[in-house]
Amino acid sequence: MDIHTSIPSQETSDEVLIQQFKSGSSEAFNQLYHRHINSVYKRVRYVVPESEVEDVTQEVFIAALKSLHSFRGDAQFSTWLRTLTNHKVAEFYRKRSRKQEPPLSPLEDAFGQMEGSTSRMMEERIYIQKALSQLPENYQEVILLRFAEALQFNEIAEMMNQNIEATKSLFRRAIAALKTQLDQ
Amino acid sequence: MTQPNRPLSPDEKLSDFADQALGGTLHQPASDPAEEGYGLEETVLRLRRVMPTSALEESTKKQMLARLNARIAKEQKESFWTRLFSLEWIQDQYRPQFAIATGVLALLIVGLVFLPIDFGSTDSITGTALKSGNQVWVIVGLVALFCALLWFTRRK
Repeated sequence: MDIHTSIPSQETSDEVLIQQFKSGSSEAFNQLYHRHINSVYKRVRYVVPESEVEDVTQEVFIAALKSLHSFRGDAQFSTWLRTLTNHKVAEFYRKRSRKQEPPLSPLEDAFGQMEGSTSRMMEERIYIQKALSQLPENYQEVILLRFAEALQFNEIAEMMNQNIEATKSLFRRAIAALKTQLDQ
Repeated sequence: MTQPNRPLSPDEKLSDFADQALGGTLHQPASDPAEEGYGLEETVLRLRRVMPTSALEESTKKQMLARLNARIAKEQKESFWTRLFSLEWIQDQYRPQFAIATGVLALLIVGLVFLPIDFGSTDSITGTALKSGNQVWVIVGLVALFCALLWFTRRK
């Protein structure tokens, strides 16, 4: 299926676009892409080496394209896409470990397109990514939602079906666990 | 933001600090170095400073979309035989079940070829491999193997 470039329509809801896609409109998928590429890209970029970010992002959208026909709308499309992104990131690390490459490769893997970034910062980024990957899933999730996707705590609470106090508590525990990982 | 006229819990204090740090209004820990929250605030600042948060520019989005299109088109053009003999699918699709299924099929074929089983032949000589009856089963085995390969190389 070919996806054509165009300016996304902000008025049409995701649900309507999905229905249009199911009826054969590739333009509808194009609009979904434009609407969600930033959040997918930011999430992937937070946890995957820089040189692999675009590839993993592409994998997410290709998987979405293939399985969107079976999307039933039980959850919001953004939530579904977030789950798909997490699966693709996990798959990336699974394939990587199968090839017996280090979970996060050394600096040369991360340099590339990072203009203006110092090697020290890149080194620290890899170190933090590695520490993040060691955290329990719900800790990683709250950190990614707040930092990578820049969602507010009330939005995160709604998404996680929690009250805001529980979400802030989870956030604090996640940061404490990350600090412990980084200090090791 | 939390109401300012009541003492903040440590959870609220850290989340408020994160809001301000991400908003770019705080660059130093707000707590005293002796407090427990100090180290957590430092970790928040470290994430803010080091990890990437910038959004994609419109031109980059378009370039990425063009490359995605190219990849989708390439995958669609790629023939079944190219995929089958590229051997990449073995690495991509590898699972223990695949190895087990292949092993069982291989054993089945070897068994069919070499075991002295008489499949309805009236020939009095038994134990001869690749008799005409056996050949049918060898072909069936090979077809089954082929079907199994198709199954494991299917797109998920």
